[in-house]
Amino acid sequence: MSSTRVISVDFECRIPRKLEEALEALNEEGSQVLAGGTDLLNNIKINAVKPSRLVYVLGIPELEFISVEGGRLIVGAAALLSDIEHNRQVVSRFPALVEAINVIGGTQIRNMATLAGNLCNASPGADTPPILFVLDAEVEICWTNGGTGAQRSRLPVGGFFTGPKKTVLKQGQIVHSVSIPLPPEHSGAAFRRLARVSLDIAKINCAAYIERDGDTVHEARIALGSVAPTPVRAPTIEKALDGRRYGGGLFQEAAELVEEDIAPIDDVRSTAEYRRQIASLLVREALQEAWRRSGGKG
Amino acid sequence: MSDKTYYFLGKDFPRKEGRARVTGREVYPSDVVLPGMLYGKILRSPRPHARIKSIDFSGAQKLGAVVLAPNDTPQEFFNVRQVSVPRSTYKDWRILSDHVRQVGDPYAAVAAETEELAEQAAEAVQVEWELLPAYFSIEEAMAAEDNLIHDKVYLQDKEIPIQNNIACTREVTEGDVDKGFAEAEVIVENEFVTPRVYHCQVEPRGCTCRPEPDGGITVWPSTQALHNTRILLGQLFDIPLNKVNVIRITGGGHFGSGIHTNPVILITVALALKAGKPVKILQSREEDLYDHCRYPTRYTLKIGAKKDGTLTAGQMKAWVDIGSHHVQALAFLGVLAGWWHSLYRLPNMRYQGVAVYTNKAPTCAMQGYGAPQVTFGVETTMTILAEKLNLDPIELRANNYVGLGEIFWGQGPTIRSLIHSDGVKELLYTGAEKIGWDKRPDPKAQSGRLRRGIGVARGFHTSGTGAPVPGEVKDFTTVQVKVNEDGSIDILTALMDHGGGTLDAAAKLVAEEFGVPFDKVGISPADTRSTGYDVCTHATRGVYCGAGAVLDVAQDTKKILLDYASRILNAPADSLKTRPDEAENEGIIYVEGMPEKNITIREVAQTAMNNDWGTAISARSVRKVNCPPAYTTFFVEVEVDMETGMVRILRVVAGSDAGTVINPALAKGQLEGGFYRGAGMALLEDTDYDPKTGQLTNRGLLTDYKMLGAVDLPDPEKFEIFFAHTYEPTGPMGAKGIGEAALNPVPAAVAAAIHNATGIWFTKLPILPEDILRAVREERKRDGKKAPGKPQAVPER
Repeated sequence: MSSTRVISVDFECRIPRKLEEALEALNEEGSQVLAGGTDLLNNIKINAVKPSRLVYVLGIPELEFISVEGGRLIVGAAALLSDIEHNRQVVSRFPALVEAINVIGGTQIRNMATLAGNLCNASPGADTPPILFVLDAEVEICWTNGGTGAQRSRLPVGGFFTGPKKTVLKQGQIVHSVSIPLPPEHSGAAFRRLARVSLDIAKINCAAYIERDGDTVHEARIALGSVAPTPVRAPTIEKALDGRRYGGGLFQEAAELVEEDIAPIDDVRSTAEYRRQIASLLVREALQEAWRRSGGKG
Repeated sequence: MSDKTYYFLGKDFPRKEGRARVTGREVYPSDVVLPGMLYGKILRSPRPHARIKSIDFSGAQKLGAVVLAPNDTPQEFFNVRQVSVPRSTYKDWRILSDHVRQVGDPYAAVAAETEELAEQAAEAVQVEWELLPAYFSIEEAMAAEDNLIHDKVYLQDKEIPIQNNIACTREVTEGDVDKGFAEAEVIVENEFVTPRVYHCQVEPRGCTCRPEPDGGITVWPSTQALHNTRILLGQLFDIPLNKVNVIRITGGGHFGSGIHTNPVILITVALALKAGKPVKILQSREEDLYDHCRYPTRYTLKIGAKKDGTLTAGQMKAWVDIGSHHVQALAFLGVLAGWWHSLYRLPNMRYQGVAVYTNKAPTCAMQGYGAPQVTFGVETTMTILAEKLNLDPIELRANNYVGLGEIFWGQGPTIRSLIHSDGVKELLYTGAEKIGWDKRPDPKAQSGRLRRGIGVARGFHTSGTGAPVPGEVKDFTTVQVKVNEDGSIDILTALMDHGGGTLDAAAKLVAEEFGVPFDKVGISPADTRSTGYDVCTHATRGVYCGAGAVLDVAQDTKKILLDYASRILNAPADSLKTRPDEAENEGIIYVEGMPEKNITIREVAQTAMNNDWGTAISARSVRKVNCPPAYTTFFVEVEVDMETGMVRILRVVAGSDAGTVINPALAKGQLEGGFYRGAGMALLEDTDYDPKTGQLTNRGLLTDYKMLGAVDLPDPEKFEIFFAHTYEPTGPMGAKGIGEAALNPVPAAVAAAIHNATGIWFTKLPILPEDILRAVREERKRDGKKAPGKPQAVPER
């Protein structure tokens, strides 16, 4: 049986001051990144993880930033969720991202946890991946080969998850930042979720993004969480909406296609049956709200 | 709430221990630290049902740990709960056993100088298991012929073989049930299921024990029952009781989980005795989730009535999945009958209860002790009956409830007493007016996605377990009250306060009786060596029985004080009255009709000391010969989302008949807290097991044991509380209990509100959104109004 007892395993904890130091430390076998620790410490306590070395990345200046440059919002890996949700640029341009962050844990958790950590924990039910999916976010990964400085590469957030609790990150690699293109005019995004209580992991969550051209859906993106081994896009719905004129129950019809794109299971939080039943409802609500935010009428 | 005026009763003061609590200076079991103390760790079974083939402690011993194996502990059988008398107490427990009966069952323990080392030592213990078949449902368990969870149990010294994992049974019959049903013009019968709720008290259970040089022990446990713990420890470890000292420390929450002496206490003592050093064990939250939970029930309930609403007969068959051990399920089976029998007049009734062992956490008392379970079914049945008979559910209740002048036996068939105060009709009618009962929606007339509903349920709890003739349950409290030489007063008793303000109530009663400022009454630290027996704080007995005993003894002490004063004032003692002088911070004794002839209590006490008259002090045990029903009624308004099955609680009207209300703010807090846990039981809280692993599906992690949070509950201004204007003539200054009554009707009221919104009755708790959505869709399918799976087109929320 599991137990959140006192942590009795010995491990080393490095607190590097520079990114490169951190990356070098992480190249050693058994090293793990410690950021807010809101997932990792629990996992250590219940013996799900037995690290020999933790490398603490909060406080590293190269990772601790939220900025807008080159037409993108860039959030460093050490930026706290509470800093992101209160950042003026984020609040004004990405209300749906704020909504998704705001339901993660309580204030205390958001004062410790990071956006990058929410991604790296790779929970199928995490609240930020669906909205990052539909906002076309990219994840910048960095590592060092030793003495060569930090190497970096970028990939779409959709390619980041490889399974439940699994990502593309290899030993020595960490997330450097998450970047999101600033949304164009006539676009809107929304986030919806259901949970057992307000302070909870989602039973199911969903995000929608719409780019509007007059009364027509120019482009729609939809993603859901807790309905498959990883957060997923809903391409069937997206195709059904592309170029379609708003009205006549368009969103409802399209949302009902969600069954094609999800494969939910029974777990401690809910049932596959229920998730299937309410997925289309959440998608419809998210689409409706995204449309409204894009300036669409109806 | 009575209309009498008092100096202190009915007024709010800062709680005596409030400052210590809010400044972090209160000492809870987890705060106890002793010099040279070792930290203990309990080894718990990873298997649901197994025997130890071999156990190897060498790894732990290499780390320097003290180890405790089953054969290091006394192997006599006992019951952890000692509230009932021995002839009614089944014994199937041993401190440690090599036969483990659930995941999390303790089988060994280690102690070391640091918690980390103890943890490492525990991990180094190697065990080889012989696996046994495990049973996770009543059906599986009752089908088993061999490999039983317990082969035998003991009743006193008599060995009783167990068959089909049936722990015990109980039957109660009154009148002629067949005749009663034959007379019925309407019969309602349903099966009800209630969940295995975890107490989730704030502090996990724990204990610290110090072996003393004289062979005795001093123990700082988390418990509701100081003296029962002391007696059990003395018996098991063969220590004379005058060398067993159990200290009262403020508990970090109980909800019933500490009425029995928790296994962690026994293991801590065994480890400390073996180590010859103080040992502390604090369970982790996950261990705690495998340690205790509320009794789940499944029962069929059949009630017959005449067309005018007169009940003619009832039949109840209950099955209780008690888990791996018997925390006195016989008493539980008794109260199921008692709660049922004492809600409504039933001239003819038949009750059968069966308690069955399974390989799950042991079940025990939790706020309400079977009453929320039974009230759920009975109150649901009453509303269904009212609808069938076309009667107002309020009137059907008002005409049938057990009230003033009637015999009631809520605490089971052996505990019967007469009802002397009754605010039920006031609760029903005032509550109905406040919630707008007459304007409640008609479920059939509602359409659209969000639907509102109002539900009502009433109930009660006994104020303790006293009765004119002692039954199966012990109930008395021993108290000492003394007047100090400065006119202040000390109350010494083993009575516990679980946070509801029991001891503050006792202090207010004493202040009122003596006429001294509230500040001048103190609650002395208590332990079992300096106090007489108190059964424990449970069964909503704290104020009525416990503080009531304090008042009775205070009156004895006051007699002595007034005798001293009469010598000084040269006036007969029965002409003397008392009143507080808040400005001077003194209690004043004066001659009735001659207020100028007076003296302070301080001067009386000093004169008595200086003249060698003695101290005004007295001590004795008090048993209350009643346990009056503390009635409550809850009206709840909900909003149900027909597309998600989510339920939002919009408004609550809670009415309580607690007699004289001593601590108004705390009494309101009880009603709010009771609603909170009752609504959780109705909508959310449960513990399930995975039959493949025998583990809890939430793995013991709070992440997946969900409870309602502040945001999930109605706004405070939408939570209206009122008290009935009653006076309990047998109670201390008219008071009776409140604590458990505050929860008992809540699940039923929530279910009734959901019915009023959706038109669907849910008879299984918790009522999850998944259940509601499934039922709504099935209903639609039946009605053929909508194709299944097609949500209604509704406007944005």
